[in-house]
Amino acid sequence: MWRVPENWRLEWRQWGGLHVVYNPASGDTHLLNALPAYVLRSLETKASSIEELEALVSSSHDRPPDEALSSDIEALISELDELGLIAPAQS
Amino acid sequence: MNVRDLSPSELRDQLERGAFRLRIGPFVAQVRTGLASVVRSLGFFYGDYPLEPFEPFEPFEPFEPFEDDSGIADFHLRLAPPPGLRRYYRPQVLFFQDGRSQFQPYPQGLAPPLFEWGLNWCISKQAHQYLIVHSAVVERGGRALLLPAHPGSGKSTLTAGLVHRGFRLLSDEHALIRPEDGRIVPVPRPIALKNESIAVIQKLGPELVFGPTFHDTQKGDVAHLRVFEDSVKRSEETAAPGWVVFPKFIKGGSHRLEPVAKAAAMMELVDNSINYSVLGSVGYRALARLVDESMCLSLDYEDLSEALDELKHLPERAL
Repeated sequence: MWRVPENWRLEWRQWGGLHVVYNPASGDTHLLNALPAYVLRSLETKASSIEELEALVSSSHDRPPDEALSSDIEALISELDELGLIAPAQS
Repeated sequence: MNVRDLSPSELRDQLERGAFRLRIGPFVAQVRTGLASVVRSLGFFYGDYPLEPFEPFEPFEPFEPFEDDSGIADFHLRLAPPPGLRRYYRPQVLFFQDGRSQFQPYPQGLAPPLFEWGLNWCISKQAHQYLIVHSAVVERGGRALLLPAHPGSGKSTLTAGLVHRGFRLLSDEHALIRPEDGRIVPVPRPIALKNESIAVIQKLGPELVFGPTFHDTQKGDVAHLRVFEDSVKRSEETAAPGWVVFPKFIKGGSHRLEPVAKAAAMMELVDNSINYSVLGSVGYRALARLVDESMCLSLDYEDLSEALDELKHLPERAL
């Protein structure tokens, strides 16, 4: 399970299809495109497993729940974790 | 009272006593020096700037007077030779802030530009009431045109050219963004031109007044351009955001002025911000507001005149 810790309070701005997110916990600013922004927004409101995120993205972005999607979500979670934007959550 | 109202001997005396309190935009710099080259330089570049009254601080017994303890100033600066024989052999100069030497010694011949570099450093390090972006700023019609750039991008050359074409100078070095309302606060100081750009700007016209050229600095040849009186007089007039233009001088390249995606502009501004990490969320919001309220563009140029023509007409474009 992953989530954005509640006390991090990310700040968001969107211009066109791009999002700029400030993480007060790290002091870092990130440029995100639509899919990472969507997933991160979702993890701000609720902890989710990779499988749950796959299902969510599949239905919201009209993508088949196949291996390609699974691999994309895993890579995305790994990247968001490396950037310090999400953290493991207890299931 | 302005600096030019002092006679040469009064100017020297005030500087030797550390009673010289110069107002530059929102800041007061209290300066002490006995170096004749710095005295001359301050008289030459800062003649139109107001002086703040000097009120010596009377310490209570049994405390000894502290050399810089003479009232409220943002920056207490001193330029002086290091002690010892270096006074006589290849003389050097040190830059002190609050009584502490802040850099390695410079050759004494570079004392006048060291004052400018040192003051830049003080503003960058201390003025955290503003979000500071490494950027030139000029103004027309109440709106600010920011030119954020890393060294070597031709920022100062463009700034000098824009000033020559009627823009008001807010700063050649620091965009001071007031977090409360997003307005840009002027801190007009001499424009530092380097190497080939010195001759390029000198050719624009005799109304542009330069100080001496300093050779063999870490940045090559450096000369400063005096600020027009109007920019100094209007130092309290802030400007609303208007345009953010990221300039890049490209030798042999083609001229191009084109829009930049606002999110990309935001990231570029973060990269050019001096104290963004100090201000945290306040800095993020101030930059986001600047991006919201500005037209964001990139400018690749080689021909200065062509670039200035295009920038001059920006105010006619809808925001």
